[in-house]
Amino acid sequence: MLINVEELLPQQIEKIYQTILKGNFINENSTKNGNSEMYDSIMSKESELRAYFKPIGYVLIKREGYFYFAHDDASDSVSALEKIVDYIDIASFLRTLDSNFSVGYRFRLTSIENQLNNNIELQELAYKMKGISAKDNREFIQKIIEKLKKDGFVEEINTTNGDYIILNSYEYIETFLGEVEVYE
Amino acid sequence: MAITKNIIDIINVQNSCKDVIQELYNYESRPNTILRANYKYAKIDEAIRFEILEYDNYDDALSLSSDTEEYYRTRLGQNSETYIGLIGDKISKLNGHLLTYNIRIRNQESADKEIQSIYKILNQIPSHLKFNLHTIASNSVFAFKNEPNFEIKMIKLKLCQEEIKELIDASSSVDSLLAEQYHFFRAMVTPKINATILKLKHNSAQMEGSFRQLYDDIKNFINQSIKDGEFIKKLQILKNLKDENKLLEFTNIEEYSKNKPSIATNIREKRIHPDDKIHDYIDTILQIIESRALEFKNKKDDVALSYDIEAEIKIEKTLYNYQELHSDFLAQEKDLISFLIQNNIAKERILGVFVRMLKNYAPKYQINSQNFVKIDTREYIEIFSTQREGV
Repeated sequence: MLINVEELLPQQIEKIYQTILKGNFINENSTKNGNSEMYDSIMSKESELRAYFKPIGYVLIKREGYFYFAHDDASDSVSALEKIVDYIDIASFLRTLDSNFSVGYRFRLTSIENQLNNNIELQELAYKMKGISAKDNREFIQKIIEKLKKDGFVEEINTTNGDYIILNSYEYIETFLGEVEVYE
Repeated sequence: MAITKNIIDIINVQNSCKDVIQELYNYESRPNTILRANYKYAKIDEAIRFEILEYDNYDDALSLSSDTEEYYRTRLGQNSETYIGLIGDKISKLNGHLLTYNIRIRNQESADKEIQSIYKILNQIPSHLKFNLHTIASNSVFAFKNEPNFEIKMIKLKLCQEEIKELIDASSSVDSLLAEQYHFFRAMVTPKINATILKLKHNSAQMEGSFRQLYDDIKNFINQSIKDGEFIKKLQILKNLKDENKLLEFTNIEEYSKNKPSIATNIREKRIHPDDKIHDYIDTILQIIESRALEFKNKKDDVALSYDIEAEIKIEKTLYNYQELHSDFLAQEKDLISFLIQNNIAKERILGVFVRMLKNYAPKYQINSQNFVKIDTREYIEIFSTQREGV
């Protein structure tokens, strides 16, 4: 029962493991940190990798355009719940800002700031949002983007202009919230 | 420039257009009739043949064909408004010209001008259909992908849906007209008109698929947008419940979160690195499991199964200092399992201690996956300290 993955993915296995340790997603539409290369490697040897990581307690989960590692037990369910609850405000705000705000959406920090400056409904939403305190609209947007970036849902594609792209992993948040049942 | 043309055709047309436009400029800017004639029979002639340009025999005027114009308008992003009604107007005009043509023929007058007008209209209809098709397609894609306001997006998409229906009707009216006036056109005996009608029919057959495809695409955009709208509403409900601290009470979010595999984050526990060749131990672990199963089976017949809580507590109370054990292990030369036995580790816990030592300090150990040390019925992999002599 030898799973000789090192021979199959010699350069990627360490990177993939490092990604697991950080709890990051592996996105197909990311251009940073060798993400798309890792994605291709996993795609080519998916079942071997799944078998490889299972004995050490990680389940490789494949979704539309991204992979992530999950615990094979419910050990992190509380922190996962806290994280997703935080995202209710953010996802609602971003969809109000632009109904197209979803996977693959590209935006410029300044254009979002302008929208916020000119939209009273958005300003009200921003004002009521708990957990994000900012001295002005720009700082508010920056904080949201920073959070999305830190959690692996957004990536900067042009540092000069402040252009960003929503990564495939954002589907995790949307699917989660979309599948939660609201009792009548 | 039918929709079915591939990229090479488009590049060729584009390149021809550059030359032709230059030629056209020269043609228009030179009043000398000889020079004009030369140009007319040079590249311009070719452009007319490929319908990049149109040439009017009556007033000697050259102009861009409707296809070329549409191509450039699309490239310049100027195709944003539909003129579907124009097709109906063209059909009415065509009927008018057919009527005057008929009267002239009956009176044995020359009907060349009517033929020219009929030809022009027939030639323009496919371009208008294509132009409108492209416009509706780009408007619907733009509305679906770029319109930030959900309500406006839905209005625009529904308008596109109405327009494509209208365009399909307009295309059907053209087909009906051709069918109704079949004998009439046939009687004209003009190769130019016959060729145009053939082209029209061919285009109509080609475009039917495109119409259907676009209709389905718009339908999908609308359905997807409706789903998005529902999702936005749901997010607002969830947000309100969260603000009122009723999220856990009125949703199954807690239960759902428990059942969903959570993302592996905040990893504090040190686990065996995959590069430590975990797969090499799998056969040994399987052997251990088998021997344990055998041990259990042998005991099962003789001893009644009992669970000694006291004994369990006693075992739990015996805590080992792994750091100290590890330091001691590094300072001596025996293999790990022999070292543990020598250190009086409880027999019941020796396997657990062995595995924990391996998990915690594997990078500092030399693992010999070929050799095993047998203790009772179990085989333990031979592990030495990397600091021992000769390593």
